Amino acid sequence: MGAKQMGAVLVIAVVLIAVGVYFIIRPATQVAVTELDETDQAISDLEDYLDFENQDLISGVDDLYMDW
Amino acid sequence: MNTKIMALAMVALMLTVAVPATGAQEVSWSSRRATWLSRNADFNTARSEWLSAVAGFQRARSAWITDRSGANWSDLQTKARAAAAEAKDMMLKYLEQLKSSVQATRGLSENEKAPLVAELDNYIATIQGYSFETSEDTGLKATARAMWDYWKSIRVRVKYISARLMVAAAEVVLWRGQAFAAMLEAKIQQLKDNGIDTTQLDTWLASFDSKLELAQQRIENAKIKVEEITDNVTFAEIFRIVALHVRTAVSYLKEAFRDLKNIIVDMRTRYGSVTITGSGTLVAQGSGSAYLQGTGLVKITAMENSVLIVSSNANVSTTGTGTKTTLDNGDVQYTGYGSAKIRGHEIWVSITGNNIKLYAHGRGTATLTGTGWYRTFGENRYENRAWTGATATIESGEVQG
Repeated sequence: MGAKQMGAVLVIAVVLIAVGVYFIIRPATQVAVTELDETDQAISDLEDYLDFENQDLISGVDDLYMDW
Repeated sequence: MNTKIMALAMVALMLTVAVPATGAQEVSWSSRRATWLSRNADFNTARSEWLSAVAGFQRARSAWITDRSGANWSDLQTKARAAAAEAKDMMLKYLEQLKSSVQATRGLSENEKAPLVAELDNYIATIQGYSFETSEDTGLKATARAMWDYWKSIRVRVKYISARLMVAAAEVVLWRGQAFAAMLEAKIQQLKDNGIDTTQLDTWLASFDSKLELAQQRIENAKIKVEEITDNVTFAEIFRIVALHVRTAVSYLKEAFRDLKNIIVDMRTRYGSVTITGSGTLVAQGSGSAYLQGTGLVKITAMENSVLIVSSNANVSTTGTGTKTTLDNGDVQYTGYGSAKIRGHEIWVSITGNNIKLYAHGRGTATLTGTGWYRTFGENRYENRAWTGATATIESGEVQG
């Protein structure tokens, strides 16, 4: 086997090991987060809504028909 | 040849990794949310334009008060008309965003949403009817006054709807949390049955439960206050109290979900696969009979004068005093207790009696017959139904029949 072929085999081996490691660590990290993404988003939306509704958004319209 | 095969294998592996990451999520809720965000942005734009128009009107009014020239009078009328039109647009955009918020919320069932949407449509149509095309200042003033009076007449209901949405949104998060926790409880029970020490997990889960409990209390308080939003004098103050309860509930929910995330990661690291998806919540209250089967947790908080029978593989804890009987076929019957918690994998629970209050978290089915109501908080549907004997799927929230 020549040097080029040895190099190619080495690269493929490294890639395969990296993919394998990714599969091993994935269940403990990615899945745990993604399953709760929707509730995290719902909490964040609710906080935004609370901030939004906390303001006196519609006021001052009576100024238009008074005193002019 | 070997290189080609190797290259194909590599591509196949890469695709295996990439596909789950780009998998399609449920479209309907996300598109409703996108519509709400868009309507909300429209309102913010309309409000900026209103603020700008009213500033222009105020400047023109000052100029007219200082110099009562024909040009200033004409400018004042133009600016007043523009401001009134922007006020109308702002009100409409506010109602539109509220309507889309009602449609986007998961906390209300479709039959609860329909009358609220119809009510908001009615308000929108009435406000659309105000026209500021008149060239007379008296007509313009009168229309602006009429529109503002109308707004004052509907704002209590508008705030009521808004407060109800807040509570509903918080409730959804609460019940989703309970559904996830039930799956973990079932898994912990399985570990226990296999002789594994789960003391640490039990402690974490108890802490998670206590935070959800605190959130639930605040949500219940908010729910009671929402119904007090009925008059033009106290509505703003009551709305503030509702928002405060919900905000406190949200802070408990955030803490609880942080805990939950840690529990899941820890369980997966130690014990491998732990599934929390495919779970939902059913809340029910009524008299008659309820039959539930599946995996997770059933909490019965009111069961006096009721007969509870559970499958032999269920783990049951009770409060109060009563009689526990193992039946000939191995099923276990409970009578007279104050409350019960039943958990496990592939269990069934049957309860018959009056004034039953129960919560089912996890996956499975529930059939309720008699008089009463129940709500589902599933992954697909949020239903509000009567005890008609129809079967509800807890994880999806769908009801057959």
